This record gives sequence, structure tokens and C-alpha cells, in this order.
Amino acid sequence: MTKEHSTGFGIDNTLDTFKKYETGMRILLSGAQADTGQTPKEVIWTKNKAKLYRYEPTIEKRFPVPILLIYALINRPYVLDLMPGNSLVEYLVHQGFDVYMLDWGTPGDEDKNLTFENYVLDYLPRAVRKVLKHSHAQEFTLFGFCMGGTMAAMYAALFPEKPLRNLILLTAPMDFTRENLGLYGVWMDEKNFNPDLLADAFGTIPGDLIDIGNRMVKPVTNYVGTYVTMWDRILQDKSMDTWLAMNKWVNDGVPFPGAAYKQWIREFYQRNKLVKGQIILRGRRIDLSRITCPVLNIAGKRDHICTLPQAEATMRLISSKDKEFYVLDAGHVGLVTGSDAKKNLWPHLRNWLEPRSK
Amino acid sequence: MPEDRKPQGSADPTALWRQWSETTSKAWSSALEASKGQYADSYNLYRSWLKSMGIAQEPTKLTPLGIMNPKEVWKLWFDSTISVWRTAAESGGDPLGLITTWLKLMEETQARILSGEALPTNLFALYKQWYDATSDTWAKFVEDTIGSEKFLEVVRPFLESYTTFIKTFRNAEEEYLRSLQIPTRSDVARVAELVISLEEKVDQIDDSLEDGYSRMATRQSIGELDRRLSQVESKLAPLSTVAEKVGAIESTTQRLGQIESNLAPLSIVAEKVGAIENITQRLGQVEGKLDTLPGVLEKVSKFEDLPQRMDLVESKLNAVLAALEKLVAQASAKSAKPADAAPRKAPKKTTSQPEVKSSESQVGQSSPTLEVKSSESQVGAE
Repeated sequence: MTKEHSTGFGIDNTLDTFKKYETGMRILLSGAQADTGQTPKEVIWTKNKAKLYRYEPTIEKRFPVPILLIYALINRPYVLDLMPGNSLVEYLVHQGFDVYMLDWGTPGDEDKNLTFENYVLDYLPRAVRKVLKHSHAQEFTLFGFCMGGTMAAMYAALFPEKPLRNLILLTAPMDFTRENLGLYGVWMDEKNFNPDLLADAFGTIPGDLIDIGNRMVKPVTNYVGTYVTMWDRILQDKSMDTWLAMNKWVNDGVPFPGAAYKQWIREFYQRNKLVKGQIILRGRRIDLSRITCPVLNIAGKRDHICTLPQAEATMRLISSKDKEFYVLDAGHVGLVTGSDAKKNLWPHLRNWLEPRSK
Repeated sequence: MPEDRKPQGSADPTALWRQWSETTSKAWSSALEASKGQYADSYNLYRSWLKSMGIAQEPTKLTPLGIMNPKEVWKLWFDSTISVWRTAAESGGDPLGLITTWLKLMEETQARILSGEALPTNLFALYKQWYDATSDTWAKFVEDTIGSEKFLEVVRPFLESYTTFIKTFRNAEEEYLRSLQIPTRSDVARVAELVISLEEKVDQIDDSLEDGYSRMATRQSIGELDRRLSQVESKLAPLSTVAEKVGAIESTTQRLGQIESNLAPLSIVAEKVGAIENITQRLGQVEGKLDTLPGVLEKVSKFEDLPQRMDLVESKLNAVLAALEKLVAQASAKSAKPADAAPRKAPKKTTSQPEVKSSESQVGQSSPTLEVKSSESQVGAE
């Protein structure tokens, strides 16, 4: 029951209502402000705009195998470390894991020619070396989220041997068969969309433009429902912390280097080359069947960015004997944050990782 | 409620709703009515909605706020709205089917909201209820629309013209700034690219150094090597005996080589031996032939004229001996005179006189005595 219902229509209530509307209007006009990515960390390596973070341990390290988190080229990776008490990173650190994260940074005009070759063959292997050196480890667990998962799988296919110990894919699209893509399948069809147009016009595709594409998959929910929820929470005096953090993240898109964008749309979405084994990076073919390490593949039933069949395809493409497909009744981001994630995903991750990180 | 009681003003949600709707609908109505004559009737949907809102507002103006029932307000609004929009849809002004969808939505919402549930008086609560009731239908409608071929047919040329515009605009900007001798965005980006390339080279050097460091010897690694070397040495100790044997074998092999080289000339010797054997054989043959000579000589000795010839030979030999004696005598006389001067050498020279050359040159002067003795000795020798 709202405060208004309980107290009637007094002057205090009026002032309170105005304050709430003021709060809401400020968010709408200035954007959501929240302190995100609060788990203490240090930068141990940089390259161009990319940074490699090492999260400071809060307890003695229990597992010698470190975890390297990599995120997509769009949006920011702090969704994995959203806010204290609602952070997957914080949880893993508290469990005694040695956690690292590769943040790709914010590309500028000068990065328009960066491709997946650069990210998978230059940035990622170097980051891996730095992680191993810093943690004095011989092996590591690679954990990729969304497009970062796709990139992690490509890395694992190219470097399947030691030091790669485990691979965790979180809502990582692999199969881009049109029927699996929902609205993306229609929009990204070659006859409807030419990625060169945007890449040539902008060089580096603005984050807002990418964001529009993602929001339009669920336009009513994303453009209206989000703010209905906001007003509802404000007016009912519910905590706004998570909403603010999430909204900040949603609106904090990063530009996409044009060359990589063209690859992503054309070779993955339009021609589905990854599952066909036709992606070639600097003459090296990506063959997912070369992946033999233990794999945990996680997907959400209500995920519209990476649909269930897109993620599920991984299970038939890899050669790992130790592999698990873990499905949750959640959306793309709801998988990793929020109360359901705390109850389901996080403990499952810990249980899966523990015996494989010794 | 007493008649003199004043309305509760803006604190009353119904009043707030009425005031807001009056203000906004008037503003929108004015704007849309003003444009009605200039454009095709693309605002029909909104105009209809605003008209219905006006109708719904009328009773609220006449009714004291305190007794205004929100459900009544909704009912009035729904009734008037649905009626107006149905008319609009039936008149054919709905090419995309928006009004039909909206009508369906409204009817569903009306049924849900007016089904007897208590309606909230808060404006937002009302809106939320409306959103909850309609969002799924709306979402489906919008998603169907934006995923339709008709929609994409509109988007395609839009995207092309939009990107062309952006590109043209950016190029024009660049050209303009360039003409003003002002560095452009792309100039800065180019410099940044150089910096990034430089960083890449530094990274490569860093990689090389890291590789080098990883290969560099540390005290620990040297200690480890020392330990392993000791192990290797202890394992090698028995090998020294073997090595000695191997050395001996090598020495033997060397000596064998020398012997072989020494034996090489023997082949020539062997060849010579072969020749000697051949000579021996031939000598045997010669001996065999010589063995036949005594018989032949015997036959020869039987010749009759042989004594005569022997006599002749003897006489000649005697003459030779005589000559020789004479020569000897002369030589003795000569040697007696210089005996004082060289008493030791004289006998040597005397003994050296009977050399072959001297005797041959002085054959006619030898003494006969000596001649006989010599001839006898020579015959005996023959």
C-alpha cells in the first residue's frame, strides 16, 4: 500500500508527492546516477583503451586457478560488478577466487579499424599472459558474457591447450540461424540491412545507435515499461539503487569500432559463419570442435539479445566431455544481477568452479 | 459533503487529473486543429482521443470533486472514447490498423478496469493499471509492426538517406575546417592511431623482454642446474673406464693404420719377390742348361786340335809372363830409389801394382815364371 493511501491527502503528503515527482523528473532529464563497479580493484595492464583489472581479494585465495572475465564490445562490463551486494564479481572474490576482468574501454575514431583479429589475437592472449604472470598460475578460467562469450569461445578454439583450464559462457550467441534471432533476424537480413552504410558514415558506430537497436527488440518494455517501473518505485518509496544502477548501465553504451561491427553483422548475423567453421582470423580458422576443456554454458529463457537456441548450439559444436548447459528463467541481464541471480546463478557458478579450480 | 466546502485543490488526485487533462488536451487540440487544413489527416487518432477526453471532462466540471467517483470518470471516458474511435475506424482512416488495434485494446482495458476492482485515485496508479492491462497487447502490436516487411520497406531508404546525409555532412565539415587550417577530428584520430601503433611496438618489445626474463638464469635455476650437473657427473664416472677402453681401441686403430701404411710398400716388394721368383725360375732353367755344359765340354775336349791350340796358348802365355816379370823387375828398381823419401808408402804402391788396368797395359812385359804360374792357375781355375 502506498504512503498516500495510508495518510490521506495532507500538505505533508503533497510535498512528499512533489519531491517524488522531482526525483523522477531529475532522473528523466539528467539520466540515472549510481555508483557502480565498486569492488576494489587495481589496473595491472593496459593496451590502447583496454584495461585489465585485478579485484583485490577479501579473503585468502582458496583456488589457484584465476578467473578472467571478458565482456562484449558494446555496453560496459560493470554490469558484472553492478553495486555492492549485487555484484557477481564481489561474490566470486568473497568465495576466494582470484578474479580479473578485461575492460575493452571506449573506442574512439582512431579505433575504427579494430577487428576481431585485434581483440582475439592481440588483446586477449596478452591479457591472459598478464593474468597468469600476476597470479603465478599455470592455468586459468575464461569467463565470457554475451559477445564476450563468443569471443571467449573463439579464443578457446584457437588456443584449446594449456593454460586454458575452464570455459564459462554466459548468454553467448554462437548460432546465428535467422529463425533463432527473433526480430534481429528480420532486421539484420542482408536485403534489409547493410552494415557498411553505418560503418562508412560513422567510422565508429555510436553507442546510442547500437542501444536503439537493442532496445527496439522490446520497444514497449524498454521505452515505457522501464519508466513505469521507475515511477512505481519512487512513488511507493521502494529502493531505487538497483534500478538506477541498471538504468545507468543500459544508457551507458560504448561505440563499436566500424570494422569489427561489419564483421559482427555480416559474418555472424547475416552469414552465420561461426557454426560453419568459416570464421578466419589472420589465416587461422575458428573451429569450435577444437574446444575440449570443461565448459559451463549458461542461457536465459527470456533472453531476447541471445536467444536460447543461439546459446544452446554451443553444446553440439564443442568436443568437451565435461560440459553443462544451465538454463534459467531470466532475461539477458537478469541472469547475472538481482535476487534470482543471487539465489540461482551465483551458487551454481561457485559449485561448478570449485572442483575445477584446484 | 457540505456545500461550502472548498475543493481540495491540487492535493486531490481527481482534481489533478482534471486540471492536467484540461490543460494538455486544450493545448494539443489547438495545435492539431490549426494544422488540420494543411496536412492529410494523420493526426486523426490523437484528435479523436482528445475529443473523447473533452467529453469525459464535462461531467467532472459540473460535479463537486468530493463526490466524484473515479470509476464513473473512467466509464465516461471509455464510453465516449470508444465510440469516437470506432467511428474513425469505420470511416476508413486507419490504413495501418492502428485504430482498430487501439479499440480492441481499449475494450479489453475497459473490461478489466471496470470489472469491479477498486480503482486507485492516484494518477500514476491509474496509469500503471492501464499500462499493465495494455502493455502486452501494445508490445505485440509494435513488435509485429516493426518486424513487418512494410515497416522495413520504409526503414531501408531512410537508413540509406540518413547515412548519406551523415557522411556528406561530415565530409563538408572536414573540408571546411581544413580550408581554415584547423586540425579536424580525423587529423586527431590519425595522430592517435600513430600513438596506438607506437604502443603496439612497445608491447612487442615488452613481450620480447618478458620472454627474455623468463629465460634469464636465476640463483635458483643455477642451483638447480648445479644439482643436475652433479647427478650427471656421478652417472658419467663409470663411463671413464669405458672411455679408456675406447681410447685404447682408438690407439690400436691408429697403430693399425700405421702398420697398414707401412705395409703398403710391401706390395712393391712382393712384386719384386715375384720377379725374383721368376728370375729364380729362369736361373733354374739356366742352371739346367749349364748342367749340360760339362758334357758339351767333354765332347769339345775330345777335339784333336785342342792340344796344339793349347800349346799355342801356352807359348803366348809364357811370352806374357816374361813380359810381366820384366815389368816387375823394372818396377822394383824404380821403387828402390825413392825408398828414403817415402819408406812407408812404397810397399802399398807395390801391392797395388797388380791392378787390372796396369796389368793389361803391360801384358807384353811380364816375366815367364810368373807367366807359367799364372797360366797354370788360370787353367786350373777354368
